[in-house]
Amino acid sequence: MVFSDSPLTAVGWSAEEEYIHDEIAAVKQQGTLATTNDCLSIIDPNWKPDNPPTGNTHHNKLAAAFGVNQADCHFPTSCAGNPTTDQFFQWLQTRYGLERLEQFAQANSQGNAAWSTKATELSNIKDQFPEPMPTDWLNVFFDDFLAVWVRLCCNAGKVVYIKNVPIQPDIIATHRRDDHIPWGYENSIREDLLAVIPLILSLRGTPPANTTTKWNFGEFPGALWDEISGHLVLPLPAWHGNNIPIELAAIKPLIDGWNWSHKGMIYKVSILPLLPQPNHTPVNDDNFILRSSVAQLMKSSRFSIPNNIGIASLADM
Amino acid sequence: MSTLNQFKDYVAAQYKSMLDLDLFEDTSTNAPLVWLNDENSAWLLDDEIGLAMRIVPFTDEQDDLNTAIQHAIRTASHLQPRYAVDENDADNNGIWQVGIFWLVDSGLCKSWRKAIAGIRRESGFSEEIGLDAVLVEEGENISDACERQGLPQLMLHARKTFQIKWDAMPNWLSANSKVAEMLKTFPNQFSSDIEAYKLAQELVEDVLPDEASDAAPPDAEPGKEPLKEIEIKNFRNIKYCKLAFWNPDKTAQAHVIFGPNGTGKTSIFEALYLASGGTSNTLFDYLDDLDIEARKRDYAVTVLTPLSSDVPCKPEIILNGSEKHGYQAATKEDAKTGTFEMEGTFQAQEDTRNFLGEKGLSLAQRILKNYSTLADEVIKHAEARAFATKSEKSEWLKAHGLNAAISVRETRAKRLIEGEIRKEPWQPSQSLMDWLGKTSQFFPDILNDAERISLRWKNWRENEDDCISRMAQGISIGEISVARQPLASWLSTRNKLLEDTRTLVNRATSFIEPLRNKLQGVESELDAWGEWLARQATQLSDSTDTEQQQIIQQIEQTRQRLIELRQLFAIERKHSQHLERLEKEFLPDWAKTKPDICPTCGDDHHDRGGIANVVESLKAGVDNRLTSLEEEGKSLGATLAEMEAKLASFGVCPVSEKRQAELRDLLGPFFRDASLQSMLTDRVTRASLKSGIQAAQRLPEVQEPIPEPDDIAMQLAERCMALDNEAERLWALPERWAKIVKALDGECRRIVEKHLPETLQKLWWEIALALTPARWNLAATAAFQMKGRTAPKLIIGIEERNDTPARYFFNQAERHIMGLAWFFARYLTHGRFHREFMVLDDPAQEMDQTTFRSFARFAQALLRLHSKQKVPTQLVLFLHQEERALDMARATLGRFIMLSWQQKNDSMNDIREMMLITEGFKPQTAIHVIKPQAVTTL
Repeated sequence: MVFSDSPLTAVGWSAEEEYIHDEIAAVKQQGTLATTNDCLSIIDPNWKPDNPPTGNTHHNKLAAAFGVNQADCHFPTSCAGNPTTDQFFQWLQTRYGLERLEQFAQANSQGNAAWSTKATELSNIKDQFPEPMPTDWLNVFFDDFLAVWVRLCCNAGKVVYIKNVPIQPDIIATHRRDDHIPWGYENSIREDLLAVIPLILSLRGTPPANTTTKWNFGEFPGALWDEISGHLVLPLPAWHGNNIPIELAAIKPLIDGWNWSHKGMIYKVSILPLLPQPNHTPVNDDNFILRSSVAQLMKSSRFSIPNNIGIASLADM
Repeated sequence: MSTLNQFKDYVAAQYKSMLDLDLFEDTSTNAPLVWLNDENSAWLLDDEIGLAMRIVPFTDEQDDLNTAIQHAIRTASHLQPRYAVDENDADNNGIWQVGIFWLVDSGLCKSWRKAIAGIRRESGFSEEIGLDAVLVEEGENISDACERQGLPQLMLHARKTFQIKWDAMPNWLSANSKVAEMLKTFPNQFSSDIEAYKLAQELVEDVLPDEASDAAPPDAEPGKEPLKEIEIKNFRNIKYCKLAFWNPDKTAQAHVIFGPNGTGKTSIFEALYLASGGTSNTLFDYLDDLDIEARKRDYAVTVLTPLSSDVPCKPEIILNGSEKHGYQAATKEDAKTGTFEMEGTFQAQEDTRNFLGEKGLSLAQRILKNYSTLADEVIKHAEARAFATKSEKSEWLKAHGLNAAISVRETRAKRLIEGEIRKEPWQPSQSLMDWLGKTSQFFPDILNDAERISLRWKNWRENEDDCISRMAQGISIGEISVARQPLASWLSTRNKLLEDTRTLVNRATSFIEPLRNKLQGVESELDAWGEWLARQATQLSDSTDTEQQQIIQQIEQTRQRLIELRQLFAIERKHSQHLERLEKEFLPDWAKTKPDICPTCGDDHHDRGGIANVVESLKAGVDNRLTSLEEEGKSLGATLAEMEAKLASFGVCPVSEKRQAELRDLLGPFFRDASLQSMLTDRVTRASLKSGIQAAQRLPEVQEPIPEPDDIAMQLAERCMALDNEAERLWALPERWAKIVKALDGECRRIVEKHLPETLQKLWWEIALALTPARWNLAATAAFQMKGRTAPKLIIGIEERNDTPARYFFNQAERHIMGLAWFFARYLTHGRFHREFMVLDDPAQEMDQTTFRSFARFAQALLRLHSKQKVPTQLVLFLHQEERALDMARATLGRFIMLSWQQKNDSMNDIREMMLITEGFKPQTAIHVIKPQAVTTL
């Protein structure tokens, strides 16, 4: 294993785990550690040289493995105007997410100028994050929405790992919320990630300057919630034949995760069908395929009727 | 053989034996039961209840349960109603449900439990599908484990019960048919005791219903009450409400009625209950409420009439278009009986918990009605017969004068023989024995012979005991010849004795007969003489010799005349008696044919008015003469007494010396060596002398000998043998019956106690387990335990702790489930034969979501079963939780009806029906979704 093969490896919160040290020691033994682009950043309010209960030293040990010292690698959070550790990692996640999306857009840009444009736009947005921007909605988007969206797509059998070979939904125990599906390797086909690009860009506006939005991504993970109008928008993957309803396995954990009784009154529920296309194309649901899938899981009688659920497009957002 | 194959064989055998269904592995057929192998697992597709069950072996603790669950969830998604499903792939009987059944190897149970607990904790998926397992224990194979733990999701017992027709259900519910079956062979267990066998056979024939009547065609099935529509006016909080249920296009339909608290769910429920059943659980509570004065108990007025009504009104319920008047049960007993009858049709809120809490006697009354009537009857019959035999024996003993305490057969035989012998006139008469013992002394010539014969008679009588003993021995060993011989010998001895006695009496006769006339009137002479002797010392009156001689002469003449008169009187009286007998006994018949002819001489008495007149006149003549002789005798007797008194007063003996000498000669044998005068002087000895004279004249009758003593002995011995046999039978009867009663009681108890666990309990427990989402976590297995046969108590206990009611081991939620399971068990065994609907008021109240989903799946399967079998039914569920109401309506593809609070007092409750399934969406057959080629295209 070479850490540099991975664009970013973030491990633990205090790096106390023995297996991390063992892993690093093994890589170091191979002689590949810190030889190319591998670099170490220890994000922590404090430098922890020792770990008294186990007798191991960890921050010192880690720094030594990479041939650096505290001054070279320690970024103290929550002090001297620095962001908190959470803000830091959210920012890191946002940048990472934007970068992954940009790369997937780029990967599809051959012969497709629209994707190339989208890649550029994403790159521009990424540039808006030279440092943590805690109030920007994109942080919550990547932290609360994207993880659930990817799981939803995976559970729905919409994620293709290798062309024409979908990841079988039952391979990954995606109904458990702690299980995280990576945002893609270089050689995988990630239509789930491509499909959210128009959504991000639409919400970011033209030019992509909207750092705030009416949509709340944290209240209903996987959905967009407008608390003022009581409008809940549920993005759903609509590719690979939308005649097949969204599977129970996909959407159920999503809806179960919403604690309805504490969310206030929902006046409107809409489905936002997303496609892995650079420009958003509204999807009709004349036969109520998507709406029936959602309605059958809704816990209120009003939204249990497919007719009472709307179909949204990005233009409505 | 792999675990999977073992399970397949077991489950195929179960389906075959219980439902007569074959398990097919060919997906091309439209088989109702299909097994599809799928890599290391398999699908079991059961069309009748719409169950797609994935069978997954759990053979390694590293096996990931999630994979199977997600696969099943995915399949369940695809089985949901879809748009534009091809008609061939659509399933009009409803949505299929998906379940997983793990086959957990022994040694891995703990790992599996841990894994499944983790999944249930972390994921809501576990409630979407039925999760179940068979946990194989050490040393067990799959079949044994399945047998022990059951396969509740397959609802085999419920479906088997569903196949039972209405006329067969009473037999299934009661143990009678099994008792009847047992009775057919019951006598065989007494094959070593033929008498007991016969008794048992008779008993069975008396009790068992006639086969011919069994074969009689059954009555037509009674009509079932449908549920079409209910209209309610002025009922509790309902001003007006109308709900239609009927849908001719759907055989089995669910109506899920949702409403927040206070919208009238329970009121509608009670209105249905009262209208259909004439009772309700609340009505019973009301009638049973001691705080309410009995005279004020008008439920309709005091309870059902709306409190808020400002104008006088009365509650009205119109069910299926007919107004229900006088629907209320009048007494709490009626109400209670009514609620029992409604079990399986109406399930009131919270009533489910009462089932497990029911006390033994009450539960028995509720469940065991008509349960073991045949067993009760046959045992009662046997006990009555046993009692009757005791009475029969007692009567027989009384009739034969035997003591009930006799237990030795020979003693009993002795008493019987003794009784029979005593019935015969074989004993010498007391007069003979007296004559022999006393009177014979007056006949010196026969004195010795008489004493010898008397002694022989005494010996003969004493030999009777010996004779009886020897006979008894013969009877005891069943040898009639041995029994006969001593009696024959004893009777022969008697014959000889009779002959000798007769000879003796004849000798005495020859002695006494000549004296008989002479002895006539002797007694009065002896008295006169004796009295004279006694008065010799007294003063005598003067008289002349002539006068005395005259008196003496007159006395003698008078006495002579009296003797003549007596002789004449005796002749005439004999003649009179002869004529009297002739008149009464002979003449009536004679005169019919020969009325004029004298039967004696043949003379024709026609001229004298016929023979009857002649005899009558003869009789009259004789009677006249007798009267005149009697009067003359009396007169002469008085004269004689006067003359004797007069003579005595002259100091002269009234008996002349000549006569005294004659009397001495005549009476010599009677006083022997004693002085006659001294005997006469003493009144006591005189009386003794007179008695002796009288007795000597009364010679005893001697019986005729028995002509053939051997034959008579044989007859009596045979009679005694028959009696002894009868006695033997009567002695053994009570014991035989006791044996039969005991055996019968044991057999019946065994059957009766075993029947309930095999029938109703299996059904109930299967449903309870089907409703329990994680049955492996249940603390114990509940079971019916019956205590006593007559007036039994029924306890729902657990196998592990005998006698302890199960209610102490299960929590409220589990108790609720078990009560709900009882409702469905009652529906399958009772309710469905009377009504085409089930109504449950908020059965989900005590359920967690996972349990509720199990309940929904059960309801789904039950409705589908009705649909497949084309048995109409409607399931009406009142639920107050919106989410659950939706779940239920979706699972059953049922109607979703919402109640909301009344806006105005005079308006109908706000009732809305919502269409949850969009037009064009249809559920699909599992085989279409699950068959491999379909799966790959998902």
